Amino acid sequence: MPAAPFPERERIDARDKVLGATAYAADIPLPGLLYAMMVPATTPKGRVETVAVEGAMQVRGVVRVLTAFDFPALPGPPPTPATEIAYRGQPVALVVAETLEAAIEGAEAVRATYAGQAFVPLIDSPGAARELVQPKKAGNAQAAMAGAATTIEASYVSPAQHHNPMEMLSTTAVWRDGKLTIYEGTQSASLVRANVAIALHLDPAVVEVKSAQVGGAFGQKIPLQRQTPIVALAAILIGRPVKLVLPRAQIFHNAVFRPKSRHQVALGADAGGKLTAIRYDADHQQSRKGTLEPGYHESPPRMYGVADYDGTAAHVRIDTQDPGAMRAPYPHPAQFAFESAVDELAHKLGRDPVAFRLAHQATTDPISGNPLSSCFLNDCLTEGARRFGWERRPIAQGAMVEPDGTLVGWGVAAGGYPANVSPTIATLRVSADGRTRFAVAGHEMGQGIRTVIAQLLQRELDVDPARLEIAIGDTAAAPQHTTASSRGTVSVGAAVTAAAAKMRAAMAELIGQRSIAGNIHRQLATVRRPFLQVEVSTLGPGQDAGALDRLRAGARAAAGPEYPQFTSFSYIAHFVEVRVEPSTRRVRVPRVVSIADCGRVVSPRTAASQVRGGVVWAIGAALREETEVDPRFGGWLNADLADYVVPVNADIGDIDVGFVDRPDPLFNAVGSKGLGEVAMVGAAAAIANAVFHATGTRVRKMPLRIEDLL
Amino acid sequence: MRSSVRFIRRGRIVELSAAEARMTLLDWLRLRDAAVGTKEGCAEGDCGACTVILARMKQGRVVHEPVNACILLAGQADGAEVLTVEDLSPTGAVHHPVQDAMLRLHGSQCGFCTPGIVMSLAAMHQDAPRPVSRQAVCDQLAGNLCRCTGYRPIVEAALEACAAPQPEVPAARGVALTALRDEAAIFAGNDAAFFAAPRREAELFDLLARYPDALVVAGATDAGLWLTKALIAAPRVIWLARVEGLDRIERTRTALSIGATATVADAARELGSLAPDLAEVIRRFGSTQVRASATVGGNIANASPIGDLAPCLIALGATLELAAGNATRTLPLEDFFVAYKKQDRRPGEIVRRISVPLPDVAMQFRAFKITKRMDEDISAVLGAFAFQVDGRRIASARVAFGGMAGIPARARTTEQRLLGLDLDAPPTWPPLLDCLAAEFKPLSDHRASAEYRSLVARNLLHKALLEIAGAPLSSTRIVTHVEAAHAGE
Ligand SMILES: Cc1cc2nc3c(=O)[nH]c(=O)nc-3n(C[C@H](O)[C@H](O)[C@H](O)COP(=O)(O)OP(=O)(O)OC[C@H]3O[C@@H](n4cnc5c(N)ncnc54)[C@H](O)[C@@H]3O)c2cc1C
Ligand code: FES
Ligand code: FES
Repeated sequence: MPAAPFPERERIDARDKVLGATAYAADIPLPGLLYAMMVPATTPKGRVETVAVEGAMQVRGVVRVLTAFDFPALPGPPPTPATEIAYRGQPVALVVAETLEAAIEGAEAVRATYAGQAFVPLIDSPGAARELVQPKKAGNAQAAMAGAATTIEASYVSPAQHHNPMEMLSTTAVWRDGKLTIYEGTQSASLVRANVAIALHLDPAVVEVKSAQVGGAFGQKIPLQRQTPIVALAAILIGRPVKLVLPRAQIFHNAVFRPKSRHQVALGADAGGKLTAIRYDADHQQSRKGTLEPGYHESPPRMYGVADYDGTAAHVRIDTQDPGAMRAPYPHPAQFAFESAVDELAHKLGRDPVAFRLAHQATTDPISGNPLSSCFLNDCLTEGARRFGWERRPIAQGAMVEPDGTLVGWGVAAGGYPANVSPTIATLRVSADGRTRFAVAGHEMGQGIRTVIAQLLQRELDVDPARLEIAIGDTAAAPQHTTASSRGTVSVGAAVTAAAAKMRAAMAELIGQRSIAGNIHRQLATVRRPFLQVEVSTLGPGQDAGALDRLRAGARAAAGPEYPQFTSFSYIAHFVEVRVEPSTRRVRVPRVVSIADCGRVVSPRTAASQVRGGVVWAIGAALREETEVDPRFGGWLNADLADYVVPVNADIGDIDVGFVDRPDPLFNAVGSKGLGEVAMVGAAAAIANAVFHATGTRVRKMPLRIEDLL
Repeated sequence: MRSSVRFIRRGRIVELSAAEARMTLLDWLRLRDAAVGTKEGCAEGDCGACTVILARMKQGRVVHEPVNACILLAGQADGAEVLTVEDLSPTGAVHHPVQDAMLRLHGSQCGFCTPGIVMSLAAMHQDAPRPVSRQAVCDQLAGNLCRCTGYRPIVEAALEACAAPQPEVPAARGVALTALRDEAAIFAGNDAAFFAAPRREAELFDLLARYPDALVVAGATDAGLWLTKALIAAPRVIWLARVEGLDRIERTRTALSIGATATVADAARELGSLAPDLAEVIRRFGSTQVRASATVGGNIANASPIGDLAPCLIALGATLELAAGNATRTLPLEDFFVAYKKQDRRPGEIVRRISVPLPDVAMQFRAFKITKRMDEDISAVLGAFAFQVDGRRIASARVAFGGMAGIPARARTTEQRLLGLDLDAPPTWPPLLDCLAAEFKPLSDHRASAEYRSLVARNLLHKALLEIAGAPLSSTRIVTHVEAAHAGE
């Protein structure tokens, strides 16, 4: 593989992080700060009849209790306390006090009464409402299936899960001089700004949202968080800063979550063993008014160049909080199902699962009919198989047994993830005194976006890295896109390139024919120019200026993966070894090899970390993570980190990461496609496929429990 | 009598009022001390983001224990120096070796877990004998969750930092801690609301008699959760850990006796020396942070059906000593557990010590802890087995389980049936193994289903028998440094 063209270097914010000096939203010191605690609904569905706040007001230190009656009435699902209760744990009141202890004690003293209603807790409960959305079709899958020589059909289940970034959800709101400033960890500062303005009937111009450092997000912090306008109104009514940190259990009940989804997959192959037909029906758990699309048909049609595809998708509406996007929201569950099914088909055909996949190089997108901008999945498979030692794999199941009875299995699966891009508006200012400030959209959630910006900027311009300020996650600095779907790096990459080019042009004009020594700052000083500032905007392929307006308004502005001339996806192949302990059936994953095609790798360190983190997520998803609904009372049963088991270090074996590192020729100038999400896609299926290879048992649901292997 | 809690913070002696002493140490640090480098990720001891170091004098030397500040009452820091991430390189110019390695090897992404991880590793860097193995690093990190990095860069950073020789403890620290020491009982507050830490048993019993409703805490790894999660109000708190002698660990010719307030960490060596499998159970008990606070007595007294030590100690034939005032009584450990959350404990009585007979050479002990994830996880099932082997036959058997009933319980019928079992005739075992199923009616919960529990219990007994009959230890068993150290004995 070609050497990575970008050097390894320290993450620019890591120093503060290891020193404990990084300030997250809940760490910001503010004079006169008040503390808040939320009171959750204790019924899963119904109407609030009364909220008695007197007890709380008697607690020493309690300043105010806000209930639904304090908020402007709004059409549609309110983000504020409401009298209609749609799920257990919904906010009923907010207690604001001088101290955290008083806020907690006050919250305990609030008494609400409800008129309860019958509720539907599970997607297979009576009363769950199925709602089909637009199908995704290409060619004639029905005919292709009818003509297939070999077919398989099976159904797969992916559970409800919660993101659980380590940082808890929190909001701190300040109302001063007619301006509202909100500090919180978010992936969408502009969206928060727009929606808080709507919820509280404010002019968006008086609202700023700041999210300089986010302690992990993974999709949880994309939408407006339920508590944000509530805390903001408290700050406005009281006239002092208010901070709320939601306890973990309240986060489980109010944050968005990955909905449970069901996947029925049928595959057909012709007499030559070529995959020719795909039928795939998906549905997922949805709240009564939730909007997260069941978009499961993103990746499966773009993997293997199959022309005939027939996909349906549906919501199943029940009484729960709104689900949302969680790392690789559609491709992770979809590829678990699809790549398990591909394994089942390869098995039925008696083919090696790597060789079977290699025989299906995709070049076009059957859905749009356009070419794929690049697809190096076969390079991923070949390199992964080489590093893993795949050629030593016996094709039969249960053929690798240790002397003590431990069953060993090797599995493979692939993933794909749409390459998205956001329009950007950015400002670059270079000063004669050595400072540089680059203001752009983007939220630093651990993926290393600041480091990427710094690296690109320093490659393009001779600026002083020690005095480089990167202003992101701040609506006051630049309109903020939703940093998700791995589009952050790609989008800001375009902004940096454009801004640097404009800056070079401005410098050239300023300096003219003169030859001046020193870096760009020295040159400015020499010509006695205090600073130069340029503003640029960039658009995704095929986008027009309307996208910039949407960006400014905090609305959805991103494009992809279908562009006018092409479709763009990132790819990955995972190779997994599992070991199944004979007496307890415990499954361990000692070894993984993951090779990604994300186009050009911009920051090798952060990229490898992203992939490793994604694989760990897949191990958690495949073997452990599930949030269980309590069907008797609604709400979640295992709503804490003791019982929602995210992987610990001891669960993780060796994860070897590699990159194809070939630039995508069409998608953007840098040639990179996005990585954070594709990293986890397919790895869960690789684990299930390895378990099948070890034991002969095909488990078609996540998490794969030891019980399933008895 | 002292009327405030005292500890050292950044070179100064801090005195806490009763109200402050009952706050969690994390809240005190973040809200009162403006030390916001320490993070809150769960407030229940699970994530380690709140890890800080308590430096204390123990047996004449300074030890640095990482603890979860979120479930530790600030009063429990009495007599210690409280070190947080900000203190490792106060000027920011010269980094602590752990910070330096984390930085260079990219152990931090979103960074929210980082301060806690840095503190866990700094404790190890200071106190761990060299060389530091990968296994030891992994054990140290068991209580720190990271959702971003996939852990490997953190492990690499730890190994690199700990490759350097163990640093000297700053002399001033020992001097300051010694100067802080006193023999006084603590009573901060008044009748209505206090934090008390008696020094003598008599004082303790007086307090218990006077305030029967007070919350008694030892390590607070359970009780801390009642405060932060169940949000109970506990205006009166009695802390056991200052009671002199209550934490003593003694070994006689026939028994190991462990004082109730000995921490699991401090008892680990002696307990682990009884049997390698017990060492392994303790290695996987909670996390380094939890073990540094959790006490052996608390693990018994809380009467959890899924506590790890009870089934092991029951199988080993331990007895429990209870005391109230001048009255002391001793009973077999299994008799202490009466029914779910109900123990044979009288008002005002405390658990004083646990005595474990030393196993003889004919004794074979096996214990297996089954959890969803490898570390820091409450057991779904824990099986503990102690067999006396006479030739190739079982001469006596004690079989105990956690997670199979409302209390840690013996399988008495199975024990009877096992007598005389021929270790060389595995085909004769199945009826005996089946007998277990009839003895327990386990529950289904999100940790495991009833069927799984029953089946695994049977498999664990089978595995224990196979192993003592001479089958090789299964290679999926994680051989620990502790186990390896015992292998040659
Ligand atoms: C993250 C985490 C992981 C854990 N993992 C495990 C695990 O793997 N295995 C396991 O077994 N447990 C585990 N626990 C539970 C807990 O740590 C243990 O049960 C611990 O031993 C309790 O001891 P303590 O001193 O902290 O008890 P405390 O919380 O101080 O007290 C618990 C109860 O016991 C009473 N008590 C304490 N000491 C005495 C005494 N001497 N006499 C009378 N009453 C007394 C207290 O009044 C209180 O009611 C875990 C806890 C946490 C938070
Ligand atoms: S905050 Fe998670 S362990 Fe303390
Ligand atoms: S770096 Fe984000 S949780 Fe560890």
